[in-house]
Amino acid sequence: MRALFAGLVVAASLAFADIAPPEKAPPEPAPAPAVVEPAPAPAPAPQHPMGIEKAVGSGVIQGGWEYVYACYALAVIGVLGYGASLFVRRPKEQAS
Amino acid sequence: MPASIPLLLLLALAVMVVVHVVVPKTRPILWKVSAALGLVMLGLLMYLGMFYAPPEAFMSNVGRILYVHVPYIWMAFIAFLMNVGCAFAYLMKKSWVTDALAESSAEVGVLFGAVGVAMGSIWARPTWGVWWDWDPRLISTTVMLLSYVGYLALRSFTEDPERRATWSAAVGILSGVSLPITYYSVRWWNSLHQVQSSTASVDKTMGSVLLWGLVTLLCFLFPFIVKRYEIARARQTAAMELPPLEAPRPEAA
Amino acid sequence: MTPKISLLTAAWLVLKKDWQIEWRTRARLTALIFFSGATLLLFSFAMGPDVTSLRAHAHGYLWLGLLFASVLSLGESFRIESENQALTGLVLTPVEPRAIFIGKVLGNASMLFALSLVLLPITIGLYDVDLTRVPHLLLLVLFLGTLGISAPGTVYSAISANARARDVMLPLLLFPVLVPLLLAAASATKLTFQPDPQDQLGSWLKLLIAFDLIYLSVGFLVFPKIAEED
Repeated sequence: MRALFAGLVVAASLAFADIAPPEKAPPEPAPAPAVVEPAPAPAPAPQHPMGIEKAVGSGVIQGGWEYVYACYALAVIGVLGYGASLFVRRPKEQAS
Repeated sequence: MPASIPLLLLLALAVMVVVHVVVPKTRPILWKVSAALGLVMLGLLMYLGMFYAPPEAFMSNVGRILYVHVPYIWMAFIAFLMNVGCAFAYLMKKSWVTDALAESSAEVGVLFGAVGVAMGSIWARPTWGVWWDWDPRLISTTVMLLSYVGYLALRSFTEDPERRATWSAAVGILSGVSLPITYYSVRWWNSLHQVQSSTASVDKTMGSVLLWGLVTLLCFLFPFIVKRYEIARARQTAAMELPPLEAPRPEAA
Repeated sequence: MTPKISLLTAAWLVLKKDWQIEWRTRARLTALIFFSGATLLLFSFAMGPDVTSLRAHAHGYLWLGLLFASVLSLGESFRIESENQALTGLVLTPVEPRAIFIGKVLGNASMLFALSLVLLPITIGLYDVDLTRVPHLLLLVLFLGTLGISAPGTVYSAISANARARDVMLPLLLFPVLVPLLLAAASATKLTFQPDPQDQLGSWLKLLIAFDLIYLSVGFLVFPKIAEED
């Protein structure tokens, strides 16, 4: 318990130390959007080789297989995992 | 694949459940048969759902999540319905059997519900663009899950078996009652979720694959509840030398 | 057979007993007022000093404050009974357990309703809301809402008063059930604070009434079974 409190005090003092104004300015987080700007995605080309219907998109979600895999994996894990947990908790064999 | 194949399997499963209840001698075997059938069907469901079924009209391949998501949620509903039924039966007439069944169905329901909601969340990401949305069905399913987590917590925090049985039956009934109210109250908000998928509302092949998924998980639901019930019964017996339930007590009126 | 008194008389006696206990010390209501007042104050700190957004969400803060306070209040209402086995004594008296339920629900509801009346001026002060638009409907919403918290809350607090970890158990059991009530009560309160262009207040009120009736009747049926176990 005492050690816990000591740890809390240390943590709290560290947190307060952080509040003191930093000596130098923190590194600018700003440039991130600027990097994106020079390379605009060339996707919506006006003349699409496959014709305008394909270029516009049909409103159908493309790809997304990773979500499907995740769900099917979850389906198997859910069933097998619970089966395993039931096996672990199985009641001990009784003489009767 | 015609829908008759999963329907036949469903019929076989129903026969198994009935035989299990009626003929006690078959109990050590039938749950194994059901689980084995479930494992085979689960393997086939992987193929049927991911490759055999046609892609969905708007969600394309992402729509294939339907075949596991909907069955999981349905299993949770079946289990919770069973829990409410057992809770009601317990309050009508005290019995350790309905108490153990209620415990078993609540836990199995929480499992299926939690996995189903997780799948729904994964599905929502590519279709709605968010992991979570304030959709009535989403919220009410989650609230239902939470109330049954509370139910299980109450069970694990109460030692006296008879108290636990009565209390949890009361909680089970109140939680069951809250379900439709939650659903209808949340529905006043604008709904994003698509209309319920049932076998009638989708393409024939998709319908039979969905039915296949439902039967697959039913094949697991049955042995899960049976085995969890046995654990609950063993705990009851271990906790005490089962005293008579209607112990003579001073009449309260 | 001992001479039986009617259900309502018995309920009234239980209610009067709770009021008397409360009136002697006035400890519970005082504590609740300070607790929920502090909660409301903390909400405004957590959300920032923007008066417009505070006013826009005042209904939610008010109901969350009431909800948190209700957990304290409900827990206390059966704690006083479980000390010295008072509830057992109450069950053994020739009083129907259902009368105890009704009395307890009304006791809890009146406590919470009184609390909500005290909280109203605090919401004016903190969030600058306008209570004068439809004050009678606002009172009706507060009454139905606090009654709706108390009906399932009384059942659950009777259970959790004797359970292990009862302080965790009560909110864990109660909050999921209260989701529809919170939705309806907060939405209805919002429509009394702000204009109601689509005239939706009536339907939320209906939902509140339905919630109250359903949980009063379910609790009425279930409570005797619980009281037997206490």
